[in-house]
Amino acid sequence: MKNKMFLIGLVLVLTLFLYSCDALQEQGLAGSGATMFTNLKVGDGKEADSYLIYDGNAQDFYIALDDSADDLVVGKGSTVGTTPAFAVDENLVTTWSGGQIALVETVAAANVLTASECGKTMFLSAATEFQTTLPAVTGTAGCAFRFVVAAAPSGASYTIITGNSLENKLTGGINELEVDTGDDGPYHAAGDTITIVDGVAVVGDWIYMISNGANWFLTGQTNADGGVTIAQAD
Amino acid sequence: MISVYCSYAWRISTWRVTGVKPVTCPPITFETIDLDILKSPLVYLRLHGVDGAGEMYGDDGQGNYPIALTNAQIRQADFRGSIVYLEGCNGDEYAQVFLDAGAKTVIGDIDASYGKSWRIGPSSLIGQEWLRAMHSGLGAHDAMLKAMRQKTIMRLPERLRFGMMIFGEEGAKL
Repeated sequence: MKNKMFLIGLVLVLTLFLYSCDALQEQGLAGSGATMFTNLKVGDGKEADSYLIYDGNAQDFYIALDDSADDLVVGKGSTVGTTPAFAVDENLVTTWSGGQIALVETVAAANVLTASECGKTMFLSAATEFQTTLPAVTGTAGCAFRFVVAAAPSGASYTIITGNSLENKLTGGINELEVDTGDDGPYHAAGDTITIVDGVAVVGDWIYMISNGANWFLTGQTNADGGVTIAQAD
Repeated sequence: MISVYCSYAWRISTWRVTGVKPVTCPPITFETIDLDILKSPLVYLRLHGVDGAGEMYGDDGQGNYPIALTNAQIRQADFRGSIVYLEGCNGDEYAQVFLDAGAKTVIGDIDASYGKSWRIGPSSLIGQEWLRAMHSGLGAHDAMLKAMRQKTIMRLPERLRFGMMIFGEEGAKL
């Protein structure tokens, strides 16, 4: 008898517990534009593709784990593995299947670059030439810039100077296409100013530089002798 | 007479409301459901609805929401002559789809609805009273009016009471 009462009591307590935990729930999931998940795991460890499909009106895209290739694939359409844009394999090697559009900016006035612009190509383009200031080299390892003369300097020169109050961190040289004088290929080991010279540099001259965190290593090309100079101004 | 499909997390309260052991998602999903099992004069669905989703979702109570039904498969199914009651959120979003599939009447909420897993929550209470009124021989619209006049429902906050809309044939009876 005692056991029976105990069991009845236990059932009552459990029932009350479950009922008290039975909160009012909204019977919908958060709609478009809302955050539905804090963490979202796609796939369950099985040998099968797992994917997200963006189901558009005219065009679909997918992000998928192609389990047969063990690749993360981003592509067009809704069939995993077909028409990929790029794939990342288990060694983090990325294979690009589509075209790539580089970051570019047409610059027409004085420009102070920051690390957030790393990778950009700057088209120098102005009737009134201007100065470009690089970010301080410390902390920019891997940061690269390319400068292309899109409007030939006329009346003044374009200059590119180092940041951090003209730190002497420019190292490298410029190839000159014209090789008939003794001053071909200017080089500097510790420069702070590049000048793209008025009346000499032409459209298409370019400079590329990349930082290792300690120096800006540069290279480039100019059409004429003296089209680009590298100096230590201070 | 009545077929019931609901989220697994809500199976107990749904069973209590309808008196029918429901088919639940999970384990059933849109990929595995045989829609013929829902073919009956009255179809009672209690699944998560999402504004603009084109799908309804189950709920395992553990944070997983598998797709329970898609608009595409509903359209291809045969709901001819059925009265469909959608207790979940945004039932109105799916009304036309069921009408396209032949349902003569669809009842659904135009906004969020609120229920409970074990107990009979607000939306289930409305569903329960509506079912009672339907079984007493009233048409879909009159049954809803009668349900709304029940004291237990009138005591609910307004936001939990108003929102059920009837699409199609309002006078449809069982």
